[in-house]
Amino acid sequence: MATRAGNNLRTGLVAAGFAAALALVAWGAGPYWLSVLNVIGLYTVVAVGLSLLMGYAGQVSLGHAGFYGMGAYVAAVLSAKLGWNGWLTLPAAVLLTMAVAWAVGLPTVRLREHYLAMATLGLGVVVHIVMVEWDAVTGGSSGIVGIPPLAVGPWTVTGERAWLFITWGAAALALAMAHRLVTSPIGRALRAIAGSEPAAEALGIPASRYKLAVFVLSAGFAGLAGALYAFYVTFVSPSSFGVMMSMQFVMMVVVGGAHRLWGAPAGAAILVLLSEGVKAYLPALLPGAGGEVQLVFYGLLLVVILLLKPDGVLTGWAAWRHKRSGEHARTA
Amino acid sequence: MDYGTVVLQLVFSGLTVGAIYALVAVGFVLIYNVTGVLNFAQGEFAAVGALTAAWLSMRGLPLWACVVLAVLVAAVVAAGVERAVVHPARHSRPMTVIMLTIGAGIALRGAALLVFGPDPLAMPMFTEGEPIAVGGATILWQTVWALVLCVLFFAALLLFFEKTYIGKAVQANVMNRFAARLYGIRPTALSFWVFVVSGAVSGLAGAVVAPITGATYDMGLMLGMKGFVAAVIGGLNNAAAAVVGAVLLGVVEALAAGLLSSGYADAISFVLLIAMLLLRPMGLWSRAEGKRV
Repeated sequence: MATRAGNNLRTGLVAAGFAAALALVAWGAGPYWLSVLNVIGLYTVVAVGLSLLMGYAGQVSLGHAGFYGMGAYVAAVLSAKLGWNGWLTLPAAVLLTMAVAWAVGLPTVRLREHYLAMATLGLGVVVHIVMVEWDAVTGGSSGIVGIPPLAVGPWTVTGERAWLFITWGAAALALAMAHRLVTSPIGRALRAIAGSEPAAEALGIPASRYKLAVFVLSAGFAGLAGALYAFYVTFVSPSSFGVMMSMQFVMMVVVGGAHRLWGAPAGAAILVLLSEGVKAYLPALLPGAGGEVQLVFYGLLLVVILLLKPDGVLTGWAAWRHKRSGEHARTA
Repeated sequence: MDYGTVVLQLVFSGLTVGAIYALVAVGFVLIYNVTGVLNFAQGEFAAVGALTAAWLSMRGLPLWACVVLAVLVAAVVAAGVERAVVHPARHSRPMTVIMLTIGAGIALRGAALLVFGPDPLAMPMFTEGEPIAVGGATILWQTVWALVLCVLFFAALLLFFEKTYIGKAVQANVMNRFAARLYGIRPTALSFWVFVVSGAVSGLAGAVVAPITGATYDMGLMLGMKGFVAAVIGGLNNAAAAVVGAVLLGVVEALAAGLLSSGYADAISFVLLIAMLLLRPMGLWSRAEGKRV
């Protein structure tokens, strides 16, 4: 019981530190850094779900931009075209993405290896094409503009500073949910499945049911992040939800390390900061460097990070912590 | 033109596209079976081939030299990707290696934009002249070239697998990696050679498609994904089946674009992918129990 109390204390401290840091940033940061943080927060929500799927259920989705986009479009259509209250569109977006994920996942999660990856890759492309082609509902390639802001009573949520609390609130919620899940018996079952599916099934763990549940949950996270994104930028267009975006989501999880939850925010931050940093600093280092050089550098930096830290950027830190606690044990 | 002629015409254009998808798909299958890596930079190799061929032909090089150089450049780029990215990460998780190929693909796309610029490059058809009339429909000479080069290439590939040491080693490695190692076959050397061959095929696909669609720096993403879909439809473990899958995909796509809607044609090929995964996850022909041949 002592450990549980310790855990609760630690969780409480982490949450308090988190809230304090958030308040400090919201007070001190300029609008550019606030917008960067908001984007990181939204991507964190997607990456947390995806890291549950990849690190704990051993499956990959190459179509999460499809779920992210579906959430965004559901929110956009319901609020801008049908006049729904913004907050009501959020559960609608989450439920719809989860339903689609369930329909696609039901037959595919039973298959091993890369099959879910392939099916979701296909789904992502199909969703993107429907966004472009279904003019009457989605507005075609120009998308939907004029999404009304979220409102709390008479106050509307506008401005980067106010959004910081929504995006990072959602990120914290996603992290907390994921943390509860992986430390529960279900989390142990998921790790067993990722380790060896036949062994897990031999122990009576219904592997495909668990895998499906995690896949549907991760799609729901992406749908929620997408819906929030729609209200945050107030317009949606298909170009934000292409295949490369799906790849970037997976990249965030891999760069951060799929096997620890803090990998998701770390990976999201690294990918956003890398892309922003290349845009901001490369022209200073290489005069006249245009978008193409930035693309080369972005790709090369991702390659270098993955070659140096194939299991995620947090591995060194975890090993250091492990070593330190080992030394403690020996000296004690 | 009556309905039957329209369909025939669409089938012909589908065959052209299918032959090109087939070349990309075989590159995918080769690398996947030898290294276990789904190489998402495959389409980029084809883009490199297309851009090189078009760029050289605009500078007045004879056509055969453009094609040969395109194949060589794509093979060298593929070899570079293997040595710089895949080889150092050979002990990493498969997912990390796949992400590495995506990163390499992004860098290659940027490099292509840097070297060749954002505008599409045009390339003349391999043979000028009147299209051939068949049953009211017409076949472009480029279609004939695509099919002939495709067949020639597969004949060469077959000879490579049956007659050369490296080809046999690749086969042995696919059948039983452990036993192949016991016979002194080095998986790292195979990984290198399979990237070279696969890059060369994709480069050829790019050179053939350039006169039809033009060559742009970002054409690789869609070409690579179509090759991937074709490979999955055929069954990822079987190069011949991947070819049939590719031709099938090309024809279905052309028919969908011509008879239903050109905007949704790409969606139809990916719906086909999902349907295949649901109904015949191991490919059209393979036995259900075979995980990887």
